[in-house]
Amino acid sequence: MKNFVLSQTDYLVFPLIAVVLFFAFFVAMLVWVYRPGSKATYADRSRRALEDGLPGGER
Amino acid sequence: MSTRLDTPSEAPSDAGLETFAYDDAIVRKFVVATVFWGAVGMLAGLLAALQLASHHFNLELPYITFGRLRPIHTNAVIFAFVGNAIFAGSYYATQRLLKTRLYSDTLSKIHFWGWQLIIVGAAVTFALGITVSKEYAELEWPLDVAVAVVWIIYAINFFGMLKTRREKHLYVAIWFFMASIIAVALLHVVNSLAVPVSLFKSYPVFAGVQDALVQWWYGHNAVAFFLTTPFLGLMYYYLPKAAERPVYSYRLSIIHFWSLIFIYMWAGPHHLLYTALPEWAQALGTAFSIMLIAPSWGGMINGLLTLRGAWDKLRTDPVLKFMVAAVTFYGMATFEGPMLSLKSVNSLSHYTNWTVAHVHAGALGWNGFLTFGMLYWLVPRLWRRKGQKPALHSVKLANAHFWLGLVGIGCYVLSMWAAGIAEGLMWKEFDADGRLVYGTWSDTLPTLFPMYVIRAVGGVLYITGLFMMVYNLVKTAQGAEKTDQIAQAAPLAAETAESEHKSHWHRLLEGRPLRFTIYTTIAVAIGGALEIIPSLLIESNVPTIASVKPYTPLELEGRDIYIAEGCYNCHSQMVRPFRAETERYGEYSKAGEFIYDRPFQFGSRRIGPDLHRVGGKYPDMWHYNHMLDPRSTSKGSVMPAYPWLFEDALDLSLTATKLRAFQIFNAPYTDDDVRDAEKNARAQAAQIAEGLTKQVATMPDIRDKQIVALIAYLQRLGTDIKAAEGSAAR
Repeated sequence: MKNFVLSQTDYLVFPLIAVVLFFAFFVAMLVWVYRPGSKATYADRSRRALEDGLPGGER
Repeated sequence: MSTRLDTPSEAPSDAGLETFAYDDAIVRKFVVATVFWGAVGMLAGLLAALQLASHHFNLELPYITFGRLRPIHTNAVIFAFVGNAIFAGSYYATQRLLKTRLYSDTLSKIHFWGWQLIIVGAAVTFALGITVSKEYAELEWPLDVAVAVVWIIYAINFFGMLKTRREKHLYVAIWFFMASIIAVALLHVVNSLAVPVSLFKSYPVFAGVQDALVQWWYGHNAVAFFLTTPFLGLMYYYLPKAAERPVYSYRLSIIHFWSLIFIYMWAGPHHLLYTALPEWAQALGTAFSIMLIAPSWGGMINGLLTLRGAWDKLRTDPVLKFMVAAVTFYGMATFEGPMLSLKSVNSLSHYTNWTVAHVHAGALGWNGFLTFGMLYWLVPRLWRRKGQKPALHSVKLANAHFWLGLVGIGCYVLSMWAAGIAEGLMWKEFDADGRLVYGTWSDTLPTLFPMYVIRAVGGVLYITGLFMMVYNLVKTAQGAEKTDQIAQAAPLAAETAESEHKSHWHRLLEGRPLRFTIYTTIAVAIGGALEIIPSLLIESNVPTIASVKPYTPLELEGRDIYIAEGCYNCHSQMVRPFRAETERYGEYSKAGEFIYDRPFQFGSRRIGPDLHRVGGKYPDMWHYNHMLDPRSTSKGSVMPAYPWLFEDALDLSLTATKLRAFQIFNAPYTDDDVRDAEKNARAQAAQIAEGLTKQVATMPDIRDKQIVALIAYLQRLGTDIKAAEGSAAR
């Protein structure tokens, strides 16, 4: 059992690194998404989905 | 009136507009296919449900016995019904979001007809027992290749629109579609890697525990990237459309997207808890499954709150009713999933109907209802009446469909929850003397029978609703015009110059589809790479057991019959390390026992008992009688009879080729073994057949029939380890 665990150790580092990377990425994403002044940009993005480009603005 | 709130200078003047037509004809085709295959897949599901209530519904027809029908049902619903809905919905939405026509009309047509042909091919091959037996990846290799080709055509046609687009920014729905296209391609290719021995038979390159890990990495992520992320894309487009207001929080949708696609890929091992899979992989699967709640609920909240200030519409609008219920079911299913991934809960729920309840809350509630909502919204817009606003033939009928469907799901899910928990508890119940209370498998069946009936009733209600929708949609489309909608937009070049200055990195990212695609691929692939590859490379993950030997030629043929008949749909081959299981079945299963199993046959459901230790448990005669008439040996069994196995000839023409393939992998067959494969198989068959005729002189000789190979395989199952009792795993 001990040998089994030891033989795994090196490889188990990879998932750990991935989690740390993801956590860092996640925090950076949060900071950036909520950056000051971005509200209007996102409001514009989300409204564009409602627009089909039809003549006369029909939906 | 324009809804753009940009600075006036950004609004293009009328002079710079280009006029073009959306390809709505292909969307109409996919819509029709969605409805048609939905009806087929759900009717197949109803028949399967009835077969579990009474074995008579198998009709003793090989083509529709439960083991062959279940893959037809699951594949028809997932890849035909949901698949066509994704294509219809994503093609309609993406053209409009990018203000461009589909990339190529020819590719669209190849995509449509190619996919429908694959579906027909799937139904025919499964009915004939041609299957790989890996759940939701049962297609044999020629069809796997066809799926890959059509998928690439879909990808080209979809990504081609990014090139011709007239809208700089990619709306979040498109991200979900793009991630789905990439991830499904990756999953499909890796999980389908196989070595063919004929046109209709192949063996996967992975074996045993590793095959199981790859399969459930695929299986779980088929749920993620076929049933979930494309539908989230649909939700982010059609829910705002139907509610006539933008999505609740675009910021949340960004966070939702990246978290979801990163985390999903890691959760696969939760399908293999308490199995012979290495402990660390199980723990990783559970941890990421729990983390999944956060992004999933982020998405649900974003969908539901899109209705802020418009909740009154829910009273009258069937489209919103279906969509809101769908998103609610999404929330329920994504809460239940992580709960089922907790090892303590899983020890009770795994292999029971609880899993069936869980997936149907997702399939009927989330996928079904979102599709219905989308169709009720789309059809009046795809089949337009001149001078009239788009409207359904009957709103009343659509509302009735909603309530009928909801009651149907209620019957289904509640009965299967009850059945699952009851089963799980019965399997584990000991009396005061330490014996299993339900020691005989069929003792548990009377408790389940009423639940199976209620489930079938739920299915009937749901399907009745579906046919009401078919009538309603046909009436809506009758006499309407089938034209391509004309649109106007400014070409991209005019818009880009200015926005380049103020762009932040994500705006750059989403403005540059290639880079976005690469980042998405990394996020998706990292889970597979860091979790799957180590488990495939480290040999110590699967401790070898000296007494485990490859199958004899006859046993190998028997195993392939076991696979063809879909036995894994009802019987697991994985004894978990619980006292209730070792009491019932014998020694728990070790990873090293499966190294020659291609594909693995762990199974995911115990409609009948586990078979991993069935070898040597009963005499050959018992198996003979059991397969001919299961009720003769097991009173009250729901298993179908397999009379054709006693009539159909045993085909040994490929046996030597099969052994050769296994030799290439890892099985220590000698060249003599390969050369004498057929002779050795005949000798073992004769031995078994003579053993039976010696007992009962009037018995027909079965040495040339399929049943003899199946008996040989069943009698071998799990016996290698008994030969080396005590000196088992290192």
